[in-house]
Amino acid sequence: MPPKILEDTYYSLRRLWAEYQSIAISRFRNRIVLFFMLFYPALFIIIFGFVFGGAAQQEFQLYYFNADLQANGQPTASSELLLSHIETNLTQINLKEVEINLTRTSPVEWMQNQEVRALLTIPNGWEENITNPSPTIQAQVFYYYDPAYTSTITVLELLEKTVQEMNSELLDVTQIIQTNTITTPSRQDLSMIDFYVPGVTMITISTSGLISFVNYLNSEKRSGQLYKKSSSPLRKWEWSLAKIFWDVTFGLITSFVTIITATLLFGFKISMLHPLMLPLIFFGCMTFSGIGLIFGRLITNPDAVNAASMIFSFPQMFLAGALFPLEMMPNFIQILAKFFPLYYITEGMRDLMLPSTYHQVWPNLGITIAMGVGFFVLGVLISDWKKE
Amino acid sequence: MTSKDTKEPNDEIEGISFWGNLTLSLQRIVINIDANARKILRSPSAIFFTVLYPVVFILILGSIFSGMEEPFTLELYVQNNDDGLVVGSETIHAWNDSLEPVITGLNNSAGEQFIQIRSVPAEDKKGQAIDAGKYLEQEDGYLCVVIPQNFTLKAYTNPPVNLTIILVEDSQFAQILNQILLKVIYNYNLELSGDTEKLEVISQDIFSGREISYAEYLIPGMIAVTFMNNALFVTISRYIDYRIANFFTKLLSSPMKKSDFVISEMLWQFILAIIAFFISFFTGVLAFNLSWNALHWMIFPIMLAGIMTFTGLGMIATGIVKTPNGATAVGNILSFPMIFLSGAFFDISGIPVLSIISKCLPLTYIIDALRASMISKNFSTAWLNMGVSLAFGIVFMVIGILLTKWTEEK
Repeated sequence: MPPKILEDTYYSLRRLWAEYQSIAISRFRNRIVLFFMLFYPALFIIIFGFVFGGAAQQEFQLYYFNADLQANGQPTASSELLLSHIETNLTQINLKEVEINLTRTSPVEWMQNQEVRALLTIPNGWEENITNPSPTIQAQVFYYYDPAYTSTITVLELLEKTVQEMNSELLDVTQIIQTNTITTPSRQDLSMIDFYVPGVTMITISTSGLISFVNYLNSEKRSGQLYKKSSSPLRKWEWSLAKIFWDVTFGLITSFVTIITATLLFGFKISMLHPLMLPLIFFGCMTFSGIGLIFGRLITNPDAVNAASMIFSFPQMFLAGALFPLEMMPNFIQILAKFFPLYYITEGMRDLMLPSTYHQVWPNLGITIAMGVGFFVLGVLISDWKKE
Repeated sequence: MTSKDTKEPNDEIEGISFWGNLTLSLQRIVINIDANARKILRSPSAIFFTVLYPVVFILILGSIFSGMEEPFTLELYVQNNDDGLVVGSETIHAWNDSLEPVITGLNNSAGEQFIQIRSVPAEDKKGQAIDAGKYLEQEDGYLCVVIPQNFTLKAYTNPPVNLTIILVEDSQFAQILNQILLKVIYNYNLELSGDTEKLEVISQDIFSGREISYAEYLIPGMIAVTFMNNALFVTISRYIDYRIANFFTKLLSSPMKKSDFVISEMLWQFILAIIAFFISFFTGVLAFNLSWNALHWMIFPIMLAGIMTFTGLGMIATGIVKTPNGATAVGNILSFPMIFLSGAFFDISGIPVLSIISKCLPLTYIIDALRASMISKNFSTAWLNMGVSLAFGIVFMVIGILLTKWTEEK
């Protein structure tokens, strides 16, 4: 006869497996739900691939007003040269000519009225200033922009570069020092999207994991399912572990969908993946499920649970460093980021992307494991099956 | 239950005038709003998180995005292999004597030294040559300049000479530093040629005279995202909750009409949105010096159009998908693309595919309308975008009402 502990473990595993199966079956039976749950990670990586991954060639609209005209009303040769430089060298800029009556309105007013974001004006007498031998007079063109649109800053940078090139041509500057720009050795065969995929995968898992867990818990409580389970042999930790195993399973499916979409659409390199990413995903899922359990226990009002899960999941999405580099953020935000679990998980994922940073993964992996176990145990201990 | 039994109480009560029915309808709307208010007021956690959500949202996201404008310093790694050029009794080093002083002389907006130089040794302790790229990766740096041997000699006697710039492509700091370096080198080339710049681009921010900060541009977007998330996810969670608790079936046996119920739920969301707006606004004023001039009456009809849109979308989500997980997945699919593609936090107008998708999203018009009424004060734009938002709102509400069934699920 087997010892009692083995018998208990056997029955415990059976109950856990039965609960896991019931969750999985309820998900897979509803095809619409399954479609949306799988479509979500694909959509996420498509958006981020285009926004951050540099997967699409950018295009900008630049309006221009050329007031540098000859006596016959035709544009001067220099102004035409500048415009042709822009057209030839900056293929991402679409030039569009406009007429502005400067006696009735200013370029700024005109832009505000016409909802124009970027305007280049070449003033009257520009060519004269170029050909003027005086070293003190510079030939200036004016660029007006709406700062609410960051693309206007990109246009400014491109314009400055073109004007610099034109300067070098006009002045016949000898390029005594030239530059040769290369990327760091580990990154040589990689593109921008390769750096985004692991981070975006974890963001997808964390947001959908936490919000869906909180909603699931809420509905189980409301429908009285949890109360009914309290009269069954199923134990709290078995129920929690079954749900967490399901979340891990779905986390792996989500990762698979994200990676396949990124590979097919943006040419993501599968070689970027590392086996240690699996424990990061596993304990990451466990962390967010544990946090979900805690939220579900501490906050009973459904509206408040939603607000609380968004207060947590939304800022951490931006603070994880996967979308926006933390280096650019204020110091207190960089400190605050370290209070969110996603920070350590995405840092771990990033460490595993390059051989030169493999050695940095251990602290982040250790923290992720500790968080996963800690939040799970705490969640199980405080969760309650009593009727609301 | 027959179809007659489940028929909604749409018919007006006989013998009561139109105005009488309207009064009864208004009473039912007020009763449901009152019930919702009592429910939230009796839950301290609900009050806490409802108030905290917009505050946290504005503070964190405002700090993240406006913080990018704050002064910072950069680190430039330099591997200098240059032997210099001996002229008489002196040795000239083009990098050390001319380029480095210019770079280290630059100050950031706080008046601190902008670029710190970190030296990369040419050899290790064993006398082996150090690869600057690998060293940069080990040190977690983002940009390194490698100055070749005979750099100065070649620059003065047999130009051109090449400087190698090794950078971490996905680092924004590296991109900024690279641009500065290229500009310094350009100016140095110009100086050696004895020329001064002839052409210049003068840039002007069209709102510069009004001293509008970057955070102020972001606040309308953050406000819109806050009430979108609230209206969408709360509608989803409430409708799913009502369905699980068979609340809709119970309502069938009450005088409450579907239209009264939907209007009251929407108005409740609108009240919550107004509260969230004022919390966000005051947080913006206190934390980011948002101007009081940003407060304008047009904000409220724009918000109402937004609430109609997102409450309608929430109803559509719960109409299509009946389970909590499914409805959450649909909510995520609806909200996250809108957050990132509507121009709330960053401009995607330069990405052709996404800018077209952005124009199909209601949040884009709501943010544009809020920004035009609060910040740029371009009211023709605000009216136009509010009109589009209202059209979205009406369409989504109608679809949402049609998809919401009060009958018991089979």
